[in-house]
Amino acid sequence: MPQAADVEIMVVDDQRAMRALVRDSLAQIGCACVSECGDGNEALQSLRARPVHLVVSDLNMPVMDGLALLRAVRSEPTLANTAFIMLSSRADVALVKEAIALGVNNYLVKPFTLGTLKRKIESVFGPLT
Amino acid sequence: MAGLSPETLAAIRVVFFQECEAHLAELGAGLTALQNGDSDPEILNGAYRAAHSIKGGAGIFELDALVRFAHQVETALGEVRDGRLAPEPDVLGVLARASSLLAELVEAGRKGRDPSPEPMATLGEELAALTPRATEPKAFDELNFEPRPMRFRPLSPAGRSGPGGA
Repeated sequence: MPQAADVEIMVVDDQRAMRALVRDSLAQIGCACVSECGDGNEALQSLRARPVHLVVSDLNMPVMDGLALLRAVRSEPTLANTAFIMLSSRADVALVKEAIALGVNNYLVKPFTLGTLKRKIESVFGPLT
Repeated sequence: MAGLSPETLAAIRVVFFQECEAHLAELGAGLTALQNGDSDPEILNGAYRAAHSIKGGAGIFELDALVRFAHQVETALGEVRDGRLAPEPDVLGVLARASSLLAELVEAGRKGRDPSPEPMATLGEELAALTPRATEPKAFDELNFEPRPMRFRPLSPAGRSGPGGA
């Protein structure tokens, strides 16, 4: 049963507004240890240098999208056990199916509520205290 | 979005509309490139992502008209990108007018004005006619997905060799 403040999270999205929304939402549920990256490639480089417990990543991004990032994370032994929640829109069902096949832990449909965000994280790690 | 303070949402809203400018520019540049015969997949991807990003951000602030119209533009661009809709002059003409209207809707959203429904309805019908095979998003419930739990273990402060195993 992890403490929310102990969960280290990386938010990956090419939109600053969306990164800010996710970061501020995470802060509201007690997750204050949050880093940000603007695309999958940047995220992968950062994860190799400093792993986190959980990646919350958008699907549609330039350079390296969320699926490619998930595939890369799952294929690297030192990163393979990083929890991964995919951010998606309502129209992304087919892409979310691909993410499921690649081993995503859960997905989060935008726009989301704080309660949903917390439940998605708890579905992976158990109740946050 | 419920749960965040009005001040926080206002700050994010400012960033969203700043980013909309870049998205609209990328959309316009993509359509211009297509009109000039440039079919570079990344240009199309960029235009598609621009419409997608506007839709996603507008959803945060419940700008429903903008969400719906951006979704139609995104759908049409997706059909072009995936080769199901040829980028012929009439198609690009509709998309160019749709791009202009999208910019107007963004501006209306920024100023807190209700957009005029007629142009949206007219161009919406034209976009829908371009994408008769496009399907509405399926309910995510149909996925019947069970979340995959993962054991939480503090990251090693020394080696930080990776999070805990599954």
